[in-house]
Amino acid sequence: MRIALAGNPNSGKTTLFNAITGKIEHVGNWPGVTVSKKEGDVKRDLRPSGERTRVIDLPGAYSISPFTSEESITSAFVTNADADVIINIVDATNLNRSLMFTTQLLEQGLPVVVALNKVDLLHKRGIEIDENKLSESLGCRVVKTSSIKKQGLKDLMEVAFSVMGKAQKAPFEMRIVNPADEAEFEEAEKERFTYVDQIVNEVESRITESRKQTSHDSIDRVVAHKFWGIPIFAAIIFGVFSISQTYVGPVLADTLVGWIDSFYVYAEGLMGESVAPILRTLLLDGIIGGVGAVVGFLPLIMVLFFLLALLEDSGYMARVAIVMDRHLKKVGLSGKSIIPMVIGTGCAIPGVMATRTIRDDRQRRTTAMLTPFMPCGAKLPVIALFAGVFFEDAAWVGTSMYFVAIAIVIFGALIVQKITKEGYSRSYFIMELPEYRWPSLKRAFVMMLSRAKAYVVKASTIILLSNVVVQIMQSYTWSLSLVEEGMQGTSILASIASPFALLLVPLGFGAWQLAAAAITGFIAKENVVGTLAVVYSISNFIDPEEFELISGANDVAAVMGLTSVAALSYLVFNLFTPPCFAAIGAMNAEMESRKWLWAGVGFQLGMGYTVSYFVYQIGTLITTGSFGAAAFPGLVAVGIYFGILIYLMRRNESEVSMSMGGAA
Amino acid sequence: MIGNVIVLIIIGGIVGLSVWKISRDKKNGVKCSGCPYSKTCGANTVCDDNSQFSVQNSQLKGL
Repeated sequence: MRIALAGNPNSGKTTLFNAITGKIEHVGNWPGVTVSKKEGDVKRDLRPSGERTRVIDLPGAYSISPFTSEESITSAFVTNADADVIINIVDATNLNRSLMFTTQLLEQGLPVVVALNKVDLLHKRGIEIDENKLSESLGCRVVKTSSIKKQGLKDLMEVAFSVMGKAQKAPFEMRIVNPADEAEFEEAEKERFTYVDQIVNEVESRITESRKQTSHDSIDRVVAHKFWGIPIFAAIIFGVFSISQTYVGPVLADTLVGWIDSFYVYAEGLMGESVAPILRTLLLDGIIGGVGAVVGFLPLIMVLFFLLALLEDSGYMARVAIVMDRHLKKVGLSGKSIIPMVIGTGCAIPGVMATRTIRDDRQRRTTAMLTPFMPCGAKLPVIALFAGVFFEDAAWVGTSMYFVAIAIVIFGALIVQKITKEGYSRSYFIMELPEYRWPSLKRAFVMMLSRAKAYVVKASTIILLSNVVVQIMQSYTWSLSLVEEGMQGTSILASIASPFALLLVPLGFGAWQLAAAAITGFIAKENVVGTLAVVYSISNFIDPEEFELISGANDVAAVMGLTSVAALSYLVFNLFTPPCFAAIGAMNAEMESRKWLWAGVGFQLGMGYTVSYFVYQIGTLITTGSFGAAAFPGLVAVGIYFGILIYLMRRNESEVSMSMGGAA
Repeated sequence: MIGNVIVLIIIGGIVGLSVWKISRDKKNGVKCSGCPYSKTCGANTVCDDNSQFSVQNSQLKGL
């Protein structure tokens, strides 16, 4: 048996899906979180019969007629009758809008059960709904639920099972119209609206105080303000980084790293001297040390994700989207572009996937190209490492990376707008603002554990394999003989990374070890930390003795041979050059154009190099009074990059003027 | 000698498990092991979401 969950965005579908399947899919207190269908089995205790029941969580849709590709998934699924029963999740606090979609679902002829969701909020808002009357009017069963409080789920599943196989009659059927005739189509839709309005008037009574300003409105006037919105966002992110990377995170990390260290010493002792050095190094430095260095940052990441989950659950992130909208619109992006970017702060892959909610091709591709600039979860250990080693855990390092990313996004969008000769077009972003609510500690905790699990899985798969390969490449020469002590420069890894290192000299880091770490970062960004641990034989970036993030920060810094400015430049380079290969794959899927993909990767590479170059050279000029190494060759490289961008922009300008001349 | 063999087996086992996990994830539609929410379809479903999008996006362009 297959049950589909369908409804408007932010009606609580994924929360219901998680509640009835026990899965932990990403939920957010804002619309547009789910962009592809998710599947799971109904929990045993909720099944009225023993039969295995599959539940499909469909992306939110306002209409069966699709306007975005994620809506088209819902539309295709429902119209192809791929489910035995449809549970239509209706936001009880917004009945009028939700029932528009319900009446369309009922027209499909499949058995429909309406889950009148968020009923826990009705009393607070002074709304009463007569579900029996609603059921009578719609001609289908209605069950009151609260997916967030897990109320009414058993009843819902029982009713869903009971209607299976039964025919569904539509109480309202739209007359047959010619879809090409907009006026006729609109007229027919108005009839539906009138019908829904009539039902709502019959079944719902609400105390309407439309002129009264609620406390939520008062908060919005401040946090979504066009001037104060951004400083408030900066302050909140600063607070999040302070707690996660300066105060709470390091204390927890200290304990974990102590355990990893003890395990390292135990394994070392167990092997003794009888094991071949290459095997010892591979297991101790490559696997335990390399993976341990990455896992050591887990507590910091967990605290950070816990705080971000609280923010998301509170409804604040939707306000950030509104604050950013006015800036993104000015550079030719859709206000919807901010949603993938906010999702991208967790992981670039779902962020890029979320661009499919954008209908305009150019805007969708531009957003897919720019979303990976946002610092994702994989980049956080790199930020934590460098903030700890070189900047005494300063929270401004992480915070500033978010704002540099936003600046690059705006600049990048402007460049793309010029290159694609798109003029200013007014775009409207309509997003339903969810109400503020007290974030649930439990939900944030579950979300944090889910992220922690993902982090550990990544560390023990992709990172582990990368570290093993790096360790082997570092231990052998091309003639497959072991690298002699002090001759690391003859290793396979060094010979591959050295030419790249030359290109990085103008950025302040010309060591092959740093180049190798940056290259492995394209497999997964956490690899930068893992590879640095392997190539410098540092198994512990976090001190188990003191409650400080980095032990003997100067020692680690000295081993890497970087100044603080060069370290910041290296951090910027790793954060703003192209993302990992998996994210590039997601870009390819969403862009649907090889030309756009390569242009996007080229833009990211050039942008990362340029920002890093300016950070190092200007920073060195300020701190020492003269430019850093290889300033001129670097300037030439940056000049070539900008030359190409200017050429592309000019070419399009001349094409536009020629076509205008031709038209005249 | 015995020590070498044991360590080699341990390393081989760890690496083998990692490779197995990555390939199993790929089969289940997970684009990247350990990347949160990178799965695009259910375990018993064909991962045809992307091809579906391609078709539907081109249909949308015509709207």
